[in-house]
Amino acid sequence: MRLVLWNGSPKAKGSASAVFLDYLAGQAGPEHTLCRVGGLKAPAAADFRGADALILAFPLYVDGIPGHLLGMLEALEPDLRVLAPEAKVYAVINCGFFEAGQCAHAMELLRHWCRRAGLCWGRGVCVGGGGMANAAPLGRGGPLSPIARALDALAASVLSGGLGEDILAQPALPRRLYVAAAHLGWNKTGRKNGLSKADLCAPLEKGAPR
Amino acid sequence: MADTVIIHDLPPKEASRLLSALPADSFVFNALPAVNHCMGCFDCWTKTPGLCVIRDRHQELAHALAGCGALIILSRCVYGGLSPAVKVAMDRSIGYMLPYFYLDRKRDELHHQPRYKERMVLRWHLYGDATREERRTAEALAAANGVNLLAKECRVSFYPAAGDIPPLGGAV
Repeated sequence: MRLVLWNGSPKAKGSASAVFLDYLAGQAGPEHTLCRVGGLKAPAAADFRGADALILAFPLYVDGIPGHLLGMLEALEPDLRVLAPEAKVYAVINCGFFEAGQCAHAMELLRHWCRRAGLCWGRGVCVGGGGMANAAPLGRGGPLSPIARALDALAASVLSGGLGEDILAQPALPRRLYVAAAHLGWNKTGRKNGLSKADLCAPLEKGAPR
Repeated sequence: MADTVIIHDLPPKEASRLLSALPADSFVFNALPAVNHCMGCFDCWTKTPGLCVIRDRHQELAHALAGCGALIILSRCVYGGLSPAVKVAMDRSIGYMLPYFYLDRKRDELHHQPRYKERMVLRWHLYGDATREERRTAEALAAANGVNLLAKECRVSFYPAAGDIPPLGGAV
């Protein structure tokens, strides 16, 4: 199979999307051809030629698809039905909220894109607590094991060319601990920048562009 | 303070028709040409609170949003959501909220705490071709945006084309 793995995160390094795509790539044996695209550079339409599967991973931005990625998807829409008519589309969307279900609107947007591009929808994984992707190993036994299990199921669907129900996956830890860790993290980063919690909460001057 | 903020991607002819009779305290942001997109650095939360660190015309929008009474979005409907240019402007605006979470008990979901005490009215005017399913997605998506922006009211309207949108004077 020819698999196109598209990282839709704008981050050059350290993105949760890259962690999830690396994990999925690790499930594909040497008989498969992997083509990695994404980052800040828009993929060329030719990258998708003859693809059997497109696996798109991106972070949730304001309940939806990041604007720069949306632009790339829209630009590719007319070409894909010609270049990759057999391709099925799979997706991993992660959000910083704990609840994976908050990615559901973005998954719907992607399904609508898929329909308009003339591609077949395969399956999606909504990931909550995406901020933890780099904080713990993605594997069995740890707090991210529900996410690893969801990605295993997604990989099985991709490699069999199958379809499936979307999966919601979030870390196996109490939500209040996730919130506490996130708040400590913001405070710590603020302090590194010389800012107190009160500084981080300050309003901007109203209607006064500088 | 700009009480009403308008973000749009309208063709120039429709922009002048629709936006000429706005209240004096309105701030109009043309999303086209698209501003630089969000880089996911979160510096708008931890380095320059409330303001994206990318220095371009989006900074005017961030200041206009501060404590605004209404956010009116006029956008081409794309897959049941906003157009790429309008979405980029919204992506760059997350400094409107704080990084800190609160638990919305009614929905059993985390959302971001507010930076401003004022609560906005959120209106989406979406134009262009949209299927019934895409409209349903847009309604749910706008409602979710309304929750995340702590809007006191949220409504979505659909129009076949930008030329079908009625002048905003009264609608604002």
